[in-house]
Amino acid sequence: MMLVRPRIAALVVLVALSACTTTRVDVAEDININWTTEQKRVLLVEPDVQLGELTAGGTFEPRADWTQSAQRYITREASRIMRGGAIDLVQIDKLEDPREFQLTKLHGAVGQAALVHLFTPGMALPNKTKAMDWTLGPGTNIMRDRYDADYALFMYVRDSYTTAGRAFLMVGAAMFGVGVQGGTQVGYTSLVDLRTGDVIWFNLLTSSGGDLRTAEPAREVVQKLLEGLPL
Amino acid sequence: MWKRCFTVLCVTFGLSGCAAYVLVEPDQPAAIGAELVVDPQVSWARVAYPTTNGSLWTIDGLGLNQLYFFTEVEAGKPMVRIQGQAKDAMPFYEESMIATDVMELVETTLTRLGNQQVEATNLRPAKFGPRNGFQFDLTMTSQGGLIVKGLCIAAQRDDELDALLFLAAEEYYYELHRPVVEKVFASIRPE
Amino acid sequence: MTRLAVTCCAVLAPLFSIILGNPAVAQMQNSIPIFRPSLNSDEGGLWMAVEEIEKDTQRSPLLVDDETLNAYVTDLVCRLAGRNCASVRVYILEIPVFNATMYPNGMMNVFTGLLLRAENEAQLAFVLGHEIGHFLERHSIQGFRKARDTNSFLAFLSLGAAGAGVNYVADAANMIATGAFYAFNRDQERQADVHGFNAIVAHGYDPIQGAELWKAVIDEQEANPRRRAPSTFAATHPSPEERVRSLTQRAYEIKAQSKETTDGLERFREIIQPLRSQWLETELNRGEPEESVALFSRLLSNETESAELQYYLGEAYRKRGEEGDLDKAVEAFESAAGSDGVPAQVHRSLGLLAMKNGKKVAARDSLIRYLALQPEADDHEMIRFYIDQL
Repeated sequence: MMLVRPRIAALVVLVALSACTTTRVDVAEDININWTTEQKRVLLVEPDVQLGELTAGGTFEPRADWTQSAQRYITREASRIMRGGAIDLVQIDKLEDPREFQLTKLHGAVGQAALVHLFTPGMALPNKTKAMDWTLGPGTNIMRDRYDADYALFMYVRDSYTTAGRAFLMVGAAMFGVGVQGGTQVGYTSLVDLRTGDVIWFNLLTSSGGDLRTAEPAREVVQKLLEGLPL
Repeated sequence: MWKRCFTVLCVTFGLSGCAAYVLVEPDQPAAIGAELVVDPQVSWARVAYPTTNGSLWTIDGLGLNQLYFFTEVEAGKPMVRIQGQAKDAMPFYEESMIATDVMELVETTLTRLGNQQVEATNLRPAKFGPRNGFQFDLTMTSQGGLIVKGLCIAAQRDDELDALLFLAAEEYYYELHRPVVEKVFASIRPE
Repeated sequence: MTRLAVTCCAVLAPLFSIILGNPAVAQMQNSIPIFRPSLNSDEGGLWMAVEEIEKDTQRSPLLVDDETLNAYVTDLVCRLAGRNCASVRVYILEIPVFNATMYPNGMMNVFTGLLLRAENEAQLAFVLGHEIGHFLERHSIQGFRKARDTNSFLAFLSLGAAGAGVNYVADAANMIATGAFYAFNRDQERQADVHGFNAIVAHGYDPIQGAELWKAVIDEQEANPRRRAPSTFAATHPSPEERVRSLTQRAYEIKAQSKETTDGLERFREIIQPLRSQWLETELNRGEPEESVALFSRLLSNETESAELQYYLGEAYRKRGEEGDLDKAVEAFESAAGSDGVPAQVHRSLGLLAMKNGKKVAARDSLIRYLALQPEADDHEMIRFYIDQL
């Protein structure tokens, strides 16, 4: 973090997808969902979605058109799923308040900690006893109050396509958007209780199938991203 | 079910099931360096780190908080040496340094490692075990744009420097763990 | 066991950095791009990734929000950009590196390291005009394509990031994706130089100033015998000496036409000076005292009476610590002590140096003087401890 310079091209975990095409793992503590508002409201905070092409040369090239489409589909489908539970999903694309922005940075750090310590074998933190023991702290109440929403959803998706199809997924490297090999899809969603800052649900999706570029397949991906959402 | 679907290879370790983090028990004195111990106060996770005399503890994960132990840093050596970097990539400790110089050494080291707006403040005398040492606060912006705060305690003996450095996200984590870290600092003693 | 642990950490290293990507949805309502690439083009993808960087920049803790400074620089950029003024958005970042960068979508980043090193408005204008040249000539997308095609993509982006010497605000993942940082080739540099030069001539600035600034920056780099990594400047500006010659030549040709020119010194100083202390401090903390000595000496040569510059030069000598440097440091501090507006820190520096030299009485006197001027100095506890010990 502060003392170590990141090696941009380093990899963490190589996940070979063999028989299965999609993997979803989620973690949650005993969750007690409750609402302080009459209208249930969840913030979708600065969803981080990027789609691109993996060229023959092995470079990842961002595609604005695919990304824009994916963002639209994600927003649409996520809203629809929430509406099914009588929940209003409010998307915030850009937080202006510096402290709120720091909270999203902190969430990124927390997300990374979860990816490493929850989902990477051999990297568990031995001093953590609960399954899901991360928080952003009660500073999140400023968002709770400003947007009058009790929960926030964070979403991170990196997705690349080749003509050759998908082979490998690199979870760690994917977090940096670097050298995502083959056609792969990595996504995670997390749910934060804005009254405590606790990350109460974390869902990691890795897939060699699915397509976020067109409407119907995209809906399926979003459903997987939100599968198990405890709201 | 997911275990059946894919095999996870720990690429750089070459084997699966490698344990990178080791538990530091709260109620046993923990050795730091060759001659000192501290009382951890709470459970930590320890991971090896390529410093001069490396050890690194964390409570919530390295991206959220870190406690570094730089012990017996020799004159002419840097506090941190990263694999693959040139020998003089980091500033060296010098025997002639006084507290103000050591504070600058830490600031420059952190800056060279990619942090921005690194600022050390509130330099004050402090006990480092039985020795006279000093302590200061830190603030900086990490590479990813996260604001970070820190606390450092250090002492010098002969031509060597001992220092403990705690860094954590300013949002929530620094204040959360600072009391524990201060107790760890206060518990420094020779073995 | 040790080997395993070390490898483990090399792997963990990238995880230590907090990278949070930002949404690609960009609503840059105040921008009128001169040209908007189509979404399905490679440039479209580049543009999108750059917009994410811009979003991060807008909220970065490094952003300098001083209104007067921003108005001054933005106004200058606007004048230099002419008809393209509306396409450019300026962000000033507190980074002690001599550089300004323009991204393909019109975002310009100006580092405080540049503002510190420019001696006058003409020099600043030249660099900004140079960057606008890169933007108007679309050098970034050319570089991006070239890099992508030659498949040395990651390496060349690492060069940009590492070559900066410090790390930028932006999400590294996006930096990599966009190819925003890379070495322009000689032709591109020449083209940009022409732009910069023409811009300052067109606005009545002294034409030699561009060459002067480049020369000064080269000298500063060369003062450092141990330069470990190419600086942003060196990495992104090939063959600087040749360019200085070319710019100098062109300047003399223009000067032969003997028009009245300005260097915009007064206005520049008026804006920059109040903010400079912080940048001088940050420059010192970079830990390249040879370069700081070169820089502060040059600045001092234009402002011989500046106690602040004398103080910082003294500090730079102290940190450089070559033979005779401590004497030079003391000399600089004593000069400062005799000037108007002497910063209290001068007494602190004199006191600490005296203390290390065993001159207890002198040390005590200076440190007491320091605390008398700044009783609530940040390190007053430590200084009081020293006073008691002496």
